[in-house]
Amino acid sequence: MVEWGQKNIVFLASLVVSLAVIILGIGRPDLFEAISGWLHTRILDNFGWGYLLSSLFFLVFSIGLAVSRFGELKLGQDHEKPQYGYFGWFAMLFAAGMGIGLIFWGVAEPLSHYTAPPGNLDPRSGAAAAFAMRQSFFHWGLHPWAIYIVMSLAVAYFSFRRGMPPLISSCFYPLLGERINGPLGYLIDILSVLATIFGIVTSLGLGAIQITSGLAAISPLPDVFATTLGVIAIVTVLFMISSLTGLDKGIQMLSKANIILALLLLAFMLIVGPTVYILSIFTTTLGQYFSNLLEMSLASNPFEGYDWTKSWTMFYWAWWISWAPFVGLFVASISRGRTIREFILGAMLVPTLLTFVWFSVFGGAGLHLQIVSEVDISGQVAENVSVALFQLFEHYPLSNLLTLITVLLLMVFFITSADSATYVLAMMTSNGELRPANWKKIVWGITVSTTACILLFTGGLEALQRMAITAALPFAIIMLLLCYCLWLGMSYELSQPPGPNPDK
Amino acid sequence: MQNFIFPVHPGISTQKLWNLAHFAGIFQPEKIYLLLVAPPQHSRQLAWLKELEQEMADQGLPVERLLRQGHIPSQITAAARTTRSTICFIKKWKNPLKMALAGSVVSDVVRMSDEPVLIHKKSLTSAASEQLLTNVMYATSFKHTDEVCVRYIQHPAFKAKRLVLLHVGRRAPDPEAEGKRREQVNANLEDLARQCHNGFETIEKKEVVGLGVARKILRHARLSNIDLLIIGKIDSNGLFSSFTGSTAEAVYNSAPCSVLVIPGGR
Repeated sequence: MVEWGQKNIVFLASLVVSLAVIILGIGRPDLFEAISGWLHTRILDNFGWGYLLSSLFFLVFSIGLAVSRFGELKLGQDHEKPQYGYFGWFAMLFAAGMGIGLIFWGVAEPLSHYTAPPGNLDPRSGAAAAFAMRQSFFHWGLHPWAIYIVMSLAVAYFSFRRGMPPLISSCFYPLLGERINGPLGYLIDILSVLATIFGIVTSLGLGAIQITSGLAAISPLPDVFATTLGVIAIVTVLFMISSLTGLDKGIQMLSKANIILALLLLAFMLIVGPTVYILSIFTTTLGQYFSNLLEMSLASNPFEGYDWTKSWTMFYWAWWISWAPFVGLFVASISRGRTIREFILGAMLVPTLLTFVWFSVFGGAGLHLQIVSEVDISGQVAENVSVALFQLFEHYPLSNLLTLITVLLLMVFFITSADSATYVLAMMTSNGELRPANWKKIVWGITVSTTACILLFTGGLEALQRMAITAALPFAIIMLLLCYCLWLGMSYELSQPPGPNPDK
Repeated sequence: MQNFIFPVHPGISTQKLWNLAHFAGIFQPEKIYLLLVAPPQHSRQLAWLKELEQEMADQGLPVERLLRQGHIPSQITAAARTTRSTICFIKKWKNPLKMALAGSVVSDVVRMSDEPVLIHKKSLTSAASEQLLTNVMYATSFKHTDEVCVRYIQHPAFKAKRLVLLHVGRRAPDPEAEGKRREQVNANLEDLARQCHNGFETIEKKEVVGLGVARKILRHARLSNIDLLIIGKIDSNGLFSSFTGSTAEAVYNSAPCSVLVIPGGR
């Protein structure tokens, strides 16, 4: 029993802490709200600049690694080939990294920035529209992927190439040595598990709300809590089935189906929607994005618009960092056999490009309705962000079908995210076992779904999201150290003369 | 160690200078140069130098005075290069603020010199003992400087009771590679110990893992009660190290003992 406890110390400690936080959220939502609000405000107020600097550093570091001599190293032994083909790999990358978020914010974010830009811009002006698109590209572009890349690269390098368990603590071996198997290592892994749980519960909760809104738009089902509960229950059963079938089949199959569905939706909107307007927005914003990249990356705007930066850019950066353990571990697990250069360029450029197209199509169509067709869609979005996409569809042919496809898309993204999350959680709490026990997947799956239901009921979902963002602060530091460890490990490897065994 | 060069000035401690001269004398040098870098027509300083030269010559030391003008570290390194001499400094405590503002001649010479630099901190010789030194530490990086440094340690006049060979290494990225690295380090230390054999009573081999090489060398020099720390200097081409300086430069200033910095070239 003692031996079992020692082996499962990360599992037990994470379960106890997450349950304690969740019980606090259920039992004393006011206190939970107050604590999370205080932490969130303090962190963003005092360390927002740190998020901007570290995110830019991760981007520069990733690009630097890709173009350096380290880029030729393989995430695995030298003879290994990638486990997944490009399409499957990109599909899973996209599903885990962005998924629900893109559908949720694809229309809503540009419209939100358009109607409520920082103080130095006039709301609903041309400048505000350009700003809205540029910032949407910025928030969902290269930086989030660079954050994910740093985490997943470190895990993939130390586990697949150096033969260590796929855990975040393993990456600290060059710095901590055998102490990674002690309290410090456990602390890093427990923190990763907690950030993953808080993040995934929040994301699933928000996803369930949007699915419910979509269903209410096309069916007689009412947009009430009971419907959301039903959605979560069905999706939980589905993702548990997918999870128990294993990574190779479940997630890959669903992700591929989803990316095809998403591309179809994208193509339909591009063709049926204001095509030239969308392409024009894409071209202009792409140019503005790259020419303003450095300025946007470091714009904390202390003189004007600080509150805007805090509630959008800094919030996003913290959110991506808090998601990094989950996405990082998942992306690492699907990237074995690729070279570092291929991994970085692939994971950074392809999803970013797809994201830009997505925002141009949906955000552009939304702005077209608002500016050219003079339909006040932004007012409706301001009232309820989750209905933004469905409101847009109402102005296009086959709106019910589009809504149905979107609901399906959301459900599949929901399933793939929850599936990957339960897999990652089970892996992290099984000392990095690549084939974790099914019962652990079930425990985490049920914990995540139940928590999402309960917090949706008590209204503690936003508070939990703030807790996830709170976890981003230690994680930003952990990730900076990860970069250092990665550099130590790779430079050590390249400093060694080629031995008889080229694999090590 | 054929020649030595002592940068001197009238404020120097005569007692310490004699200690240093005694230390140098054991190596039976061909010449000991007393170098004074002073402005021209500084007759008082010149007179002091002549007096010092005479005193040392009377004691049978092969001294010769050198008088130079200009940038002090450049003159010292240039004189050492032309005379192929080991530069010997007497280290005295310097206010860190003053050092930060005005710089340090020793620092500059350690950085610029292609000849060995000895920074004398406490008496290197014991009159009561035939032994030149008690505890010597050689901090090795297993690089090409080993070859140069070992030549000094093997010098017939170089005597000590105990030699500590210290290697501060960087941990390998995984336990298996780390095990292999340790094996290699032990083999290297063993090999080095064989090469350094020069009548030492004991040769200790130590390996420390971690970052902050200079800090770790200093810690072990302190713990092992070292009299003389020998360290090789490699001029790095790296951008980062061109700002931070070499380990040798970082070590000499805080060392609790005398330090011999031996340049190994690029």
